Amino acid sequence: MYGYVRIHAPELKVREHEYYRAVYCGLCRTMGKCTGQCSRMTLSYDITYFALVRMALTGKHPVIKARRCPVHLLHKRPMAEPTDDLALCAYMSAILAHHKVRDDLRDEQGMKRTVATAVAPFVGSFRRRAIKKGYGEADSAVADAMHTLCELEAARPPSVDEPADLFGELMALLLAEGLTGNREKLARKIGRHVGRWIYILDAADDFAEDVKSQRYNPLVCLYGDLLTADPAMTELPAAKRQELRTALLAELVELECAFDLLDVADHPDLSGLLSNILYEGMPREIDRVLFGETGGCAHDSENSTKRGHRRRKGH
Amino acid sequence: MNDPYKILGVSPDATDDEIKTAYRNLARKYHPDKYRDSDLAEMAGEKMKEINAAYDEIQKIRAGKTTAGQGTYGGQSYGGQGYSGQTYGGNQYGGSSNPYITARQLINLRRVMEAAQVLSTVPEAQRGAEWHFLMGCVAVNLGHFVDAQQFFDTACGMDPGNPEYRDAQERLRNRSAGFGAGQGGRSSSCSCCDICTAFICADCCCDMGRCFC
Repeated sequence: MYGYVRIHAPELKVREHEYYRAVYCGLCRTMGKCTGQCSRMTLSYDITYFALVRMALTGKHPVIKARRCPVHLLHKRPMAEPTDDLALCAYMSAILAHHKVRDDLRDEQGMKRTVATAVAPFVGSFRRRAIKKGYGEADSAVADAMHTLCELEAARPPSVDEPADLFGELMALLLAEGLTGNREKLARKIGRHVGRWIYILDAADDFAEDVKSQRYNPLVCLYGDLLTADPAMTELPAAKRQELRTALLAELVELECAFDLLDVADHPDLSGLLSNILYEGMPREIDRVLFGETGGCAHDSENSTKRGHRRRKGH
Repeated sequence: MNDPYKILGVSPDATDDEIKTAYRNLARKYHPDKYRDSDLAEMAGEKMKEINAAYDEIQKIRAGKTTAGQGTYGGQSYGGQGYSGQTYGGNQYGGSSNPYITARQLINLRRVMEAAQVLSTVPEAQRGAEWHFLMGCVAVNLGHFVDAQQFFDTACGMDPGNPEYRDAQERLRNRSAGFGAGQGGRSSSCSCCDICTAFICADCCCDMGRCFC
């Protein structure tokens, strides 16, 4: 996964941040238990976010205990104990990693291919463990979805929405695993829009690089006319960035609708984290990718000076 | 029935004003206008009903406790019954020979894939501003916001004077303009006015029709 779905730490309460870290570390530990120690390398912010959403969907909150981990031997840190949701996310991550590596083996050249060849046997073993645990169906569904996506990408349609839809459906499928009724509906909605958001943002992020290396990028295909008109263009034009920003924020509006219907009031830390990610983390990530604004405190100070200017101008 | 105070998220000792505020915030959160283009409209409608019922229940309880003529106010609940599930009555699909009229009817009936199919039958050379506008409407309904903007931009470029196309383009931009404004003061950056509410109100007044058309 890509790591675009992040918290915005400066706006978090300390205990929310601690809870986030506990889930992050707990998920890492669960991965070690479920799919093997090496699979902990596949941990990402995106999969942590999925774990948080799953908790909100199922309403089962993990117990948190202080434990040591191999990376931080000196101090014990709070960690979420393994739950079904964390295990599901661990298996999801393993399955996605396997299919990603298989894709790379087929499409990539050079360094990336070498890396993919090297890690292939490892991710293969993560996936086998996932299948053994009864996630075979999810695995074949992911395989099918990945296959459809690859076929569509190979046809290079002049659209980013079409492949993004497929990726969104894939996320919806994984997030809704085992849920029924309204919860399933919400899970699908959230999965679909987070998936689309990640896909479009990733395409925008890779635009310059993909133009240079002439690799597939849905946005390069979408804005093909512009590229033929101006072969010297290496970055997304400003108007298109603005357009993408509007579209990505519209995905977040859809997410907001789903989260409003998801009742997490019984767990203020989780609900605080989910709002922080939706209202602070994700919009900032859009601006970082599209307009190169730096995250964290630098962004804040820059923002406040901007606001200061505006205020002064107003007077 | 569940505790109506719990549904509104207030304590039983809350003042009438506090309850009213809590009710208004929730009603805004689950307002059917926000869910108009959404597949979650039904769930939001249920939630709205629950909130309305809780509010009415509290009104009843409080009216009984206070002496006549004191403390009661005619706080009307938002719309009562009419909110769950929207009716698109009067827009029966008539199967007109004009593909644009047919597409409009289909979009109003939420049969967007069929509308897209009808539009795809229009020969490429005849695809004018209206074609692009309707394709934009289809894209919005499918949640394809990147495509939708392109279609609306093209439509506006071909027919700059058309208020309907301009309107759709603006609405799509506004859709995300108020993002995050209604989330209860957690954010430091959106403190002034509630853009979201303003948008919803403006939307109600103008009644720009169903799903852009």
